[in-house]
Amino acid sequence: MKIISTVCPRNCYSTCSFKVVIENNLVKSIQPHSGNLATLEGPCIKGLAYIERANSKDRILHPQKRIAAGKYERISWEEAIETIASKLSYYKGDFGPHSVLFFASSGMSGLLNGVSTSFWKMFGGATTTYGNLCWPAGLEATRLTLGANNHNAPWDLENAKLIIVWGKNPAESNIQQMIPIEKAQQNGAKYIVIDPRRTSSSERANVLFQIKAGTDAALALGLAREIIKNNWIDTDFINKNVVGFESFKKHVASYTPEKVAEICRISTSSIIELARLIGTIKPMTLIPGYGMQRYENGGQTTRCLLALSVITGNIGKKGACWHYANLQSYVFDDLKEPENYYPGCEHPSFRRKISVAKLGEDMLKMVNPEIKMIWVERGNPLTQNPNTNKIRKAFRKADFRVVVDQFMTDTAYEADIILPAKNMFEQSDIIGSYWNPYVQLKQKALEPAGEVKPETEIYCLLAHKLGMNSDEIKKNIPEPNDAEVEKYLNKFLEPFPELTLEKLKEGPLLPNSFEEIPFSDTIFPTPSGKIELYSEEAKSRWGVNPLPDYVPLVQEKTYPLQLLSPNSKNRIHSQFGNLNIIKQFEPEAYLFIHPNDANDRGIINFELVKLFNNEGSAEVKVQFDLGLRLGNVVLTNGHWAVDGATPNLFTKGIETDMGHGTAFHNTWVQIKKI
Amino acid sequence: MACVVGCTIENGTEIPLNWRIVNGHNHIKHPELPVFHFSLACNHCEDAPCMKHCPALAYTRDKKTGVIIHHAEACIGCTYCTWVCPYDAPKYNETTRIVEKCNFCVDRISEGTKPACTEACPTGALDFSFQEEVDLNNHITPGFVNVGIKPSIQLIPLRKEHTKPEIVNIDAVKIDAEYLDNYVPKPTSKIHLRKEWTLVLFTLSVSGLVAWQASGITSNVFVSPIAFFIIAIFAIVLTSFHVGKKLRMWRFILNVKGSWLSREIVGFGIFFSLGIITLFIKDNIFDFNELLPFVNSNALGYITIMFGIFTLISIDMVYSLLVRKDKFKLHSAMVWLTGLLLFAWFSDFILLIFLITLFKCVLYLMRKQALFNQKITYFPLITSIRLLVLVIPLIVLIAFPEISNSSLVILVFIGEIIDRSEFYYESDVKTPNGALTDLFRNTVKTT
Repeated sequence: MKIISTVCPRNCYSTCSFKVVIENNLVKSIQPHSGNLATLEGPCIKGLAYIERANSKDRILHPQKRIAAGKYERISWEEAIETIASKLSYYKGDFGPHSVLFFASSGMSGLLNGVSTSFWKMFGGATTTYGNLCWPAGLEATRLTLGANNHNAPWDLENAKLIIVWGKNPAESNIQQMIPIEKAQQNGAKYIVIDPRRTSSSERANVLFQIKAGTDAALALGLAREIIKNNWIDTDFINKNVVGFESFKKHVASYTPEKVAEICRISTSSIIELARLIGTIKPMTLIPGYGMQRYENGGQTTRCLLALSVITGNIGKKGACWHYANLQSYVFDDLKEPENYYPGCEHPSFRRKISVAKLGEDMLKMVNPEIKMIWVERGNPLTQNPNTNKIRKAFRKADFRVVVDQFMTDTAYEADIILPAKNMFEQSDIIGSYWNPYVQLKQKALEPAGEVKPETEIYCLLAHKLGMNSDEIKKNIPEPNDAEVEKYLNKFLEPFPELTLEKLKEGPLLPNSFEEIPFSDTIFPTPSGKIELYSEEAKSRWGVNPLPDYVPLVQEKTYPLQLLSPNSKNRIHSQFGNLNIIKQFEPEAYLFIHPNDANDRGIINFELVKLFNNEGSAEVKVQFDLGLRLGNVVLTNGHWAVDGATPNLFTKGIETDMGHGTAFHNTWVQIKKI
Repeated sequence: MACVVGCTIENGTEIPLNWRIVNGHNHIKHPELPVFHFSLACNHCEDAPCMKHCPALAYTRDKKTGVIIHHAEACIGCTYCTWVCPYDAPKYNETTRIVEKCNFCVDRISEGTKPACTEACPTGALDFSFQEEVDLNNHITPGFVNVGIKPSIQLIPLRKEHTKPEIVNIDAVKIDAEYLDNYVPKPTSKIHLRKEWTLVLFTLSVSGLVAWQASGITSNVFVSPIAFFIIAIFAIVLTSFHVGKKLRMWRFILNVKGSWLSREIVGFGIFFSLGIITLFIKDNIFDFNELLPFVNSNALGYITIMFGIFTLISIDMVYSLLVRKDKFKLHSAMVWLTGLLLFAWFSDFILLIFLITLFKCVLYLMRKQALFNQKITYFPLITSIRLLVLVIPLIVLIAFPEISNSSLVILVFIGEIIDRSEFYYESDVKTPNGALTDLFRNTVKTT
């Protein structure tokens, strides 16, 4: 038996450290890790589910080739590599390297993912993607305003006297955040949630402001007006640190409580009361989620919210911060998110890029050359990118598809060749987190199962097969053994004497650059060096109002129900939902709906209905939820086709106003009885 | 749900037969009511009913930790513990055909580590420590089953100001309590007639046998030893259908000291044996007087009846722990009443038939009225048949004395089967989920 310190590499706030107990090359148990102050109590249900996931009978353990639709047959690695290499040479020779789409997503984070990019660079380039499905509108909004995406350490939250969780459901998406929230409440803090849904996170809140979806910016501007009107602003802080306050003040003047009440559908008195709380209770930590920026107006909305922290001086102080994203552990990146999502920042060989938000549409549009071959790793675009049907069409239009995955996902079922992917226990890697500030080692604990080869090894084999220069290969791709992988990682660690592999093997480490309270020095890396409520860059780069602004969403008239697709505790995007541990709690997808919306259509609780719009349709069971606003329906993110319905069947593929994010929630649907 | 999964992994239980369950209140999120959860497994109660009522002594208390341990090798799989535990802790496993239950990770806590559920909880909402005293006041928390058996669980009630959020939304619609009842799925009862029909026949056979034997002794009614024997064996076979491990059925008799179920089985065993002996003596098949000159067949007969009555009382005591939807302790389907009614019929004791029939009618009608008032489904046709087969034989008996009793007794017996079957249909077991649902329904009605 051995106990190994590691970290969950999923695209999740918490990035929990944990210890894994290994017996006979099998994962036996998952234990909490005391080295991470943010995740002291251990991982969530998904972290525990690794025991099933690592040992699952459904895992793909050998290369597979398609013999008929939905049917696959085991092939040897030699055959797989030979087939892929000959296809690559053919497409490169006849159509150029950009006829190959290299699609990678956020399925597993780590520095070794850079090897993939290096390979495709050596190949001569490939068509790649720009933008991001998740959070860039908010990141860009924050970057434009504060200059950087950093926030106070997670545990500082317990010092707050007012906590506002706005468009986030940490009880499901960042469960350990509920610990400091509870501690702050024990110390008398007020806890406010603003969300169109009543969520598990709102249960212990003092007040839930259940505003109309997509109107958050209007509320923020209305609150700002009240705060300014009552002189609850931090004048000293504004004078020293803020650009554009006067024009902002003028800008918000029209957002009277009456007007905002009409837009957001909450009472005027509640708006005035909320403004009083924000204006008079200090310190305040404002925790915006990623949900509310997944609208077309998401970037501007986030800027409006952030203005509340700015004008009340709740930045860079104990218990006071704008708690959006904390990129302090991303010490190895030359260019941080969101800027590295933007087209133009890449190596010239990747000059041809398509939008992740409009993946299907852009793929279908590509000419000279058309997309001939698709390579997918760390991703499941068929369920996770908008407009499943269009993506499927684009996938089927291509000639040849390779998918690297651990399980038969909806995307894997489109592949001509499936290569088995490593799991988190089978190769070491270094990862950061966007919530807790630690640099961590996802440590190898097991030899790969079956015939699984880590991507680095797959690329190494392919590079040799394609006859690439062996010096170049050596320089860019680690040889397939643990020592070489560690050497590769050590190159990144060199500039950071405080971070060594030896120490990382024991547990998470804080980089020397870590600040518990960022911006406490009031240095803001914006063009003006100050907090920019007024941002020229916002206008020049994105063509939006240089001031934070509310841009109403345009509702589709023919489809009266707005579909929200938030994350749930049972899955991280499309991962984990296939495991029995999870399936026992959520065996299939449910469309949550207010009973009154269902009654209008003669639908009863748990009835199977048809859910549809122009983009797609599916049959799914409804479940009544009195915690929803009328006119909102909810289908949680990450369901596979086998679960009944994936929300992206209905999403259109619209980019957010800034940051090249994805406006998932700009989606309207209709349901009817079957 | 991490606690549930932590338990599953540690104890290797089969999904979805989890030892730990997270019970929720207000799943549908009624805006006036709080949403909260009780993560519960075994509470290792000081007065543990599972241990007290287990006929096979399959439960013991660990001396060092106080944990109630279920011993798989001693369990018969009779599932009586799943009826008597109000926390739904013992779970019947269809594959192993025995019960299993949380053991509080006794090996871990003996070594000073916490149980897997508490270790797995990512927010620290569950914790474990050894404590001398539990604050029993906290067990009054609404929705928590409190039947005074001193569960070893310390609840930390929600802070009053954070019980539920004030919800601000000018489009909020008023929720009609009438409608709401249709929205909320009713919890499935733990007792199904479909599963328990063998018990209906067993309990009625036993009351029939006792009545027959008694009338044989007191009124010299002919009791065929062969028929008596066959019916008794039939009853035993029927009850064995209800038992997971038939070869361990002898263990039923181990807990006469504490369990009415043991008493029922022991009582029936003795009644059966003595009954056969009595009948044989009476029929002079064996000359017992030569063998055991001090045995007087009459005295033996009365002793047999005493054990028979004891068996019937035990049966009623076994079922007295169930939750009756009509809330009546005394009800028309009790087996001692059936026994008495059949005895009256067998002995042709018209006054007694009349009194018991009247009494049963009243009890039965009260029961149905109570269910009707609570809007619990009942079946008018079945109810009418039941009443008719109770009353008609009596009328026929008085009006047409020449008609043979035995055909009337069959009608009466059919009535008893209906009555007893309805009794199972109307009975349930206290569960945390049921308590939370009741709390929800009751508060919805009053808001």
